[in-house]
Amino acid sequence: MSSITASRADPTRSPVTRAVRDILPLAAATAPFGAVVGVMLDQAGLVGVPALAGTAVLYAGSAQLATLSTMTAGGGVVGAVLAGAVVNSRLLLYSASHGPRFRDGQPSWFRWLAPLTTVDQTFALAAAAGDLRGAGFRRYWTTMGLVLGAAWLAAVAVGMQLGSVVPAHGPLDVAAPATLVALLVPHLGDRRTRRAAVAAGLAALVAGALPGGLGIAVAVVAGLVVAGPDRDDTGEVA
Amino acid sequence: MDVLVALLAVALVSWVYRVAFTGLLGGDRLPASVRGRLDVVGPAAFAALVVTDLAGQPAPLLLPMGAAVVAAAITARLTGSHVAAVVVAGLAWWACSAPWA
Repeated sequence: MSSITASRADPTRSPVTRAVRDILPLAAATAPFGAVVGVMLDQAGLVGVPALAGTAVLYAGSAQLATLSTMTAGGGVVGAVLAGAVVNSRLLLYSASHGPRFRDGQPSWFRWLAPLTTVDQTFALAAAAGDLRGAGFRRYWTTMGLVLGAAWLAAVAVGMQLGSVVPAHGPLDVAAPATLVALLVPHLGDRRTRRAAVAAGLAALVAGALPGGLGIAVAVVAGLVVAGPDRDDTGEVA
Repeated sequence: MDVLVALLAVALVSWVYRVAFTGLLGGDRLPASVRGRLDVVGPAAFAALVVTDLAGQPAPLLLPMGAAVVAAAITARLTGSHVAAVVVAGLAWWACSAPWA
């Protein structure tokens, strides 16, 4: 995960400044995706403070879209919860991957509350900022989460306002895959990582028919299996 | 109300995922064979999400979405900018779904 675009270690730059500099482009890039989620909330009949509260505590666009899509398609609460839970199951692997940096020398509040802001973007940037540990990492992560969260909620609020005027399909639909591709591309220079991505992509094609987003979980596992173990480290994020 | 209940339930499950190895369990509970693969979780997940998103598009949108994803990949590779990747992807989508496409 060391090749992703993130600011280089600079002893003169504070973790807070570095976090803002790293996350702002991603916050801007995810704004259209947030607007899509806002539109979906409006179409699902959930607006205002309850919608924003639900969005804030969930803090996961793909899972929220899966949950809302299942609800609006008549899949029921149980089906919708299962869909969202399966889509988000990759967070379990993210937790395992960066767990040591949240446990080692960190206060309890950080171990239990800060992971609430674990999403693809914060995970990828934190992995790239592998030189930060302890208090430095804590400040970096907390700043990233707050900035991205504020931008995310603002974008969702705008989407809720635009809900009635936005067509069912439009350029906003590309925001999520485009952001993910932008996160993925910097990794593809490494052969082992490339193998994992290609295997996960192919597996997602094959397993895509599985219900409730299960295909994503299967595909990620397939990617890890095909990549094989990293012989140079112990499994912690480098 | 059902929608909010569903979102809150997914949020609770997601929080358990998120703190599973930061608060609930130690990383040493994982077998070494799993720990040694965790560095590629991100790229594998990003690829799986993109392909799943593409594969789920209605047939008429496959071309614009595919073009948008390719455009985003090229832009990200050339510029390293996430914002530029999203903007160019949106333009590619628009170009490929316009009446002349």
